[in-house]
Amino acid sequence: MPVLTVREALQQALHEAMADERTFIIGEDIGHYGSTYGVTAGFLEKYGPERIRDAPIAEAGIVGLAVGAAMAGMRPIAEIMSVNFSLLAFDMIINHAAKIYSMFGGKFSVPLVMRTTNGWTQLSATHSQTFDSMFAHIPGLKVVAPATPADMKGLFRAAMADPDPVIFIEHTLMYGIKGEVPDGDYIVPIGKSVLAREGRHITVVTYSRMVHLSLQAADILAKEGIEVEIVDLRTLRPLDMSIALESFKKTNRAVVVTEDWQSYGTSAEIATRLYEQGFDYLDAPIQRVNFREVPMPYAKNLEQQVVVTTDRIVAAIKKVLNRS
Amino acid sequence: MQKRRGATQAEVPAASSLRSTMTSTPFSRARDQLGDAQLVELYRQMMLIRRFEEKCQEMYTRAKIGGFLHLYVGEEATGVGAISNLQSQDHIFTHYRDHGHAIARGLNIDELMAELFGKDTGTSHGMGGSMHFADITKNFWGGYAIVGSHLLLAAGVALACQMQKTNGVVMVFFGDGATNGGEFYESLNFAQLWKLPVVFVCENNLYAMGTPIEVHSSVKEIYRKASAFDMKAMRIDGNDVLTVREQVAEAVEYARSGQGPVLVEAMTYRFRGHSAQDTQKYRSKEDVEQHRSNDPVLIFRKELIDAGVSSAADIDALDAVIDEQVEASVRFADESPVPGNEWLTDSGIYAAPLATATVDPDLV
Amino acid sequence: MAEITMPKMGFDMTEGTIVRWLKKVGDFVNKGEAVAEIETDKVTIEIESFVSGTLSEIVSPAGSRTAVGGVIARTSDGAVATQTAPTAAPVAAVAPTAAPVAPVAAVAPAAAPVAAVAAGDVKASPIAKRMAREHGLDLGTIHGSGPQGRIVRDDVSAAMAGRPAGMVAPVVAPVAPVAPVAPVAAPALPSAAAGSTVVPLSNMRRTITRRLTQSWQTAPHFYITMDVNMDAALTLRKQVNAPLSKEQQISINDMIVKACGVALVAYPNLNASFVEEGIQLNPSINVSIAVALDSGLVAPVVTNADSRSLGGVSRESKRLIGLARDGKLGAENLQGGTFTVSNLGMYGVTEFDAIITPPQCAILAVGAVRRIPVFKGDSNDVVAANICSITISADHRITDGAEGAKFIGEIKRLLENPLSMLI
Repeated sequence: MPVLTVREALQQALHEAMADERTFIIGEDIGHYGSTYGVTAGFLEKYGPERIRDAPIAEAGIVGLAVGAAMAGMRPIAEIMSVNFSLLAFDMIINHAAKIYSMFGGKFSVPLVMRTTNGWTQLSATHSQTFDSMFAHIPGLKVVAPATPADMKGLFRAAMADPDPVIFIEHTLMYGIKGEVPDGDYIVPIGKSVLAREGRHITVVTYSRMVHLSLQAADILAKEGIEVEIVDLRTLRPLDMSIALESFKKTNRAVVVTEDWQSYGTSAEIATRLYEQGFDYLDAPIQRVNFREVPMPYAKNLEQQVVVTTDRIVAAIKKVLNRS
Repeated sequence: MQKRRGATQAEVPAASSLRSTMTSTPFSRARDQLGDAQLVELYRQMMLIRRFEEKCQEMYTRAKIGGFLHLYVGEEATGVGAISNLQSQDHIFTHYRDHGHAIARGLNIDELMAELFGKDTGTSHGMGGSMHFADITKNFWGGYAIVGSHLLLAAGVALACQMQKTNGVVMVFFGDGATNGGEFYESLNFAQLWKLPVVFVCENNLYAMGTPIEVHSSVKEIYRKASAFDMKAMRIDGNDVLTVREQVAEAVEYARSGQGPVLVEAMTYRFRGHSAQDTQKYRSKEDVEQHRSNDPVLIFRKELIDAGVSSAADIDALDAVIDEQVEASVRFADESPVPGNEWLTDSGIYAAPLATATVDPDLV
Repeated sequence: MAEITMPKMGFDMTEGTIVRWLKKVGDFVNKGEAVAEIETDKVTIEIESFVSGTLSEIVSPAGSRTAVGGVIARTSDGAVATQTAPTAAPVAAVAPTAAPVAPVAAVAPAAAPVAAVAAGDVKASPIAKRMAREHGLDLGTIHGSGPQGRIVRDDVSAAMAGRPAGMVAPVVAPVAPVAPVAPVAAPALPSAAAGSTVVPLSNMRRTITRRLTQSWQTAPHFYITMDVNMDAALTLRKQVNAPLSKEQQISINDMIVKACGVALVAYPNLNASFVEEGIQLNPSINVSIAVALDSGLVAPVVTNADSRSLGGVSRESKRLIGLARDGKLGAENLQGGTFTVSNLGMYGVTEFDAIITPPQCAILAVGAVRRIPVFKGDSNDVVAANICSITISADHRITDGAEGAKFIGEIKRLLENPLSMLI
C-alpha cells in the first residue's frame, strides 16, 4: 500500500469529491492564498473559482450558504480554517444544519461536510481550542475525527456520501503524519470505532491526534511489560463504544485521552459510557488525560503544561494500574 | 458616515410617490395585465390568510395549538403581492411569522392546521409547529425562528440556483428587526459579491418584536442599508397588494436576469401582537386602531367591488367558501393522528440513521 | 502489642480451627508471612499476619476452635502498634468479635449474606465485587492490593485459584444464590448424657450437618430407582483401558459422571437451582463427585461434564480425588456444582438414597455392579448380567416424578449404549 501523509490522503479524497459536479468548496483562503494548510493547494487552478470559492471572512455565511446549497441539491464542502472560528457559525451549524431534517419532518436534509481543524502551537487563547464535545453534543450532526491517513480518506468518502451534515475534524499538527492508505475504493463508515493497538492490561480510549500520542505511550510502557490496548473512536457522534467496552471488559481498567478541557468534554461522555455500560467490570477508577483547564497561554513553557503529552498519558496509565 | 452611494439611492422611489396620482394606477395596470379573475385570486389568498389566522388565534386560546403563535394579520398584502410574482422554479424562505407566505405559496391549509395541532398529517409531521411550515414540492423551504439566520440559507439556495443554472430566484422574507444582526450583512455581501438571484423582502412593521425601530436601528429606512453593498434597493407600500406585486416584479426580474440581488423594504403593520401572549405595551391602542382602519384586505375588497371586478354578493360567497375551508382544516387537524414515537429515534433525526447513534435505547 | 485474629474466610464461616502454628512464640513475623494453618469448613489454608512483629503469645493452640474475629495470637513490637489499620480492617469489620461459638443451627445463612459483606466496609472494585458474588467468596477475607487496600480483580482471581498470595483463601460455600427459603429452626437438641463421651464436631462435620439439614428441611425429596445393565459399559471400559496405564484407567464412576453430563443437557430442570425468583437454569453442567475421606465427605466438581470427553472426565476426576485426599482442594474445585454423583458401590451397597446437595436439584446414588441372573431378551433363558442400581433424589419444587424417570432412563440408555456417549 502506498504511504501518504494525512494531507495527501485528504487531497486525494477532496479531488475525488470534486469529481461530483454538485460539489464545490467554500472557505477562507482556500484558493488565491493557496490553502492555509496546503490541503486545497492547486485546486483553484484545476477547478476554477466557480467551484473553489474563496469566501469573505464570514464564517456564518460560509456555513450558511453551504447549508442552503446542500438543501437545494449541491454537495458542498465548507471549510472553516480553524475550529475557533466556527463559533461564529454555530447558529448555522446547530440551529440549522443539525435541525433542518427533523424540524421539517424529514422532508429534506442537509448533505453538508464541514471541514475544520483543531490544533495549537503557541497561538494563545483564541486559536488553540477544541470544541469536539460541543459538536458531538448536538443530535442531528455527525462528527468524525480521524487519526490516520487511511481513515481520513475513508471517512471523508463516507462523509461526502452521507445525506446528513458531517463535521469533519482535522488537526493542524497531524497533516504531516504518514500512514498506509489502501489503493482503490474503500470507505470507512461513520460510527465505527477501531482497535488501534492490542494489549491486555489497560484500555486507552481516544481519537484524532491523541491516538498517535497514546501509541507512543504504549511503546514506552511495553518496555515495562505493560500492554496497552488502544481504541480509536474515529467518530464522536454517533459514538460507537462497542470496541472500547469489549476491551474494557477484558482489561477492567481504562484511561480516556482527549485533547480538550476535561469538564463537560468528550472524555466525560466516554468515561460515563464505560461506567454505565461496564460498571461490573470496573477494577479501578477511570483516569482522564486532557488539556489543563485554563485558556491556552502563549508562553511555550506554560503551553507545554496545558497540552496532553506522552508523559502525561504514561503517568495516567500507571496510576490506573497502581504502578509507580 | 461615508457618503451614500448615489446609484442605489437614485433607483429608489420615495415612499410618498408610491400611491401614484397618475391616471394609470397599480390597480388599473394589474387589471389589464392579469384580468379580473386573478385579482379576485389575490383577494382570496389574502382573505384565506386572514380567516385562517383568526381561526388559529381561536384554536390557540382553546389550547389546540401550543407554543408560540405569531400572526401575520395586517401584513397579508406584502406576502401575497410579492409571492404572486414567483414561478414554480423559484424558492421561498421566511421567518417564524410564516403562515401568510405558506398560504400565498399555495400550501394546503389542512396540512398547515394539522401542523399547528401537532399532528402527523402536518406539513412537517408535527415536528415544527407554527414557526416551521415547509413544503419542498413548492420550493417553500420553511419558516425559520432564529432572526436573520435564514437569509444565509436563502443565499445558499440562490448559489445552488446559479450553479445549477435553474433560472430560479430566491425570495426571502424577514422583518426590520432582522436587519441589525451580522447574518443580514453577511448575506447581503455574499449575494451582491456573487450576484446571487435573491430578492430580500424586509417586512418593516416598525417593531422588532416589541422594540420600536427608532430604538433598534441607527438607520430608519431599512432599504438604505443595501447601499453599503452597492445593492439595488427599494422601499414600497407593503399594504397595497398590487403595488407590492408591481414593485417586487421588477426586483424579481432583476434578480432573475443575473444582475444580482435586490433589497425590498415593504412598509406594513402587524395588527396583532408579536405573538399570542403579547400585551403590546410598546404601542397605543389608538395606533393599532388607526392602522386597522386601513386594513389592506378590506381596502382591496372594496376596490374590487367599486371597480366592478366582482360583486359584493360574489365576494361574500367567496368569503363563505373560505370560512368553510378553514373550518374543514380544523376538522382535518382534529381528526388526524399524532406523530409516532419514531420521531424520537435516530430515524427522526438523520436522513441516514446509524445504528450506534442512540445513546441508550432504554433511556429512562 | 498487636493481635492476630481468626479471619473470616467465607460468608457463612463463624469459626475456625487452628491446625498448626507455623511460627512459635519468640519468632519474628513479617507482615504478610504465614503464621498458622487453619481449617475452615472444608479446606485447610495458611493465614498470614497483617503486621510485622515478634510473636509474643499464642492464644489459640493447635486443635482449638476460635470464633471469627477472636484473638488467636499476639505480637509485640512497639514499631507495629498500628497493626489494625488498614489491612486488618476487612477481617475485623465482618466478624462478631468475642462472640462465643454459636450453635451451628443458629447461624444458618441469612437471606443474602454475600451482599451484606460486599456492601459493607470492604473496599473493592465493582468487578471484584461481582466476581466474589458469583463465586461465593467473602471479600472480607481477601487482601486488597489496590490503592488504599482496594480489592481488585486480580486479588479475587488469586483467591479463586487458592493461591496463597496475600491474605487470600478459598472458601467452601454453596454457589450463590443461597438457600431461597429460610431453614426451619432446628429443634433444641438434647444435652449430652452424663458420663458419655462427646466428640466435638469438626468443621467439616459441622458443614455437613448444616447444609444437609438445610437441604432435608427445605427441598422435598423424591426418589426413583432403575436397574442398568452394565455389560456393554464394562466391555467398552475393558477395551478402552487395555492400552492405558494403571493411572489412566477409566472407572465405572467416570462413565456414570459422563452419562449424567450428557443426560443433563436434555433435562435442564435437573441441572437447575431453586432460587428466590423461581427456577434458575444453570448455564453449565458441573457434576460434583462425592469423595469419602476419613474426616468426612467432600464433593469436588468436574466442570462442564457434558463437553469433556470420557477421558477428560476421568482425568479431571482423578486429579480432584487426589487433591481431596491430600486436603489440597481449593475453592475453585468445590464450587459451582450443579448435580452430584455419589457412588457407594465399592462398599457393596446395592442401592441407596442420597440427600441433595444444596442448591442443586438432584443427586444420583450409584450402587455396586452386581452379577446376577436375568432372562435373556424375551426368552426364558437365564443368563448372567452385570446390573447396577441407580437412584435419583430430586427436588420436587423443581421437577416431578415423570421427568425424573425420563432423566434416569436417559442415563440408563447411555450406559447401556455407551458408544453414544463418546460421539
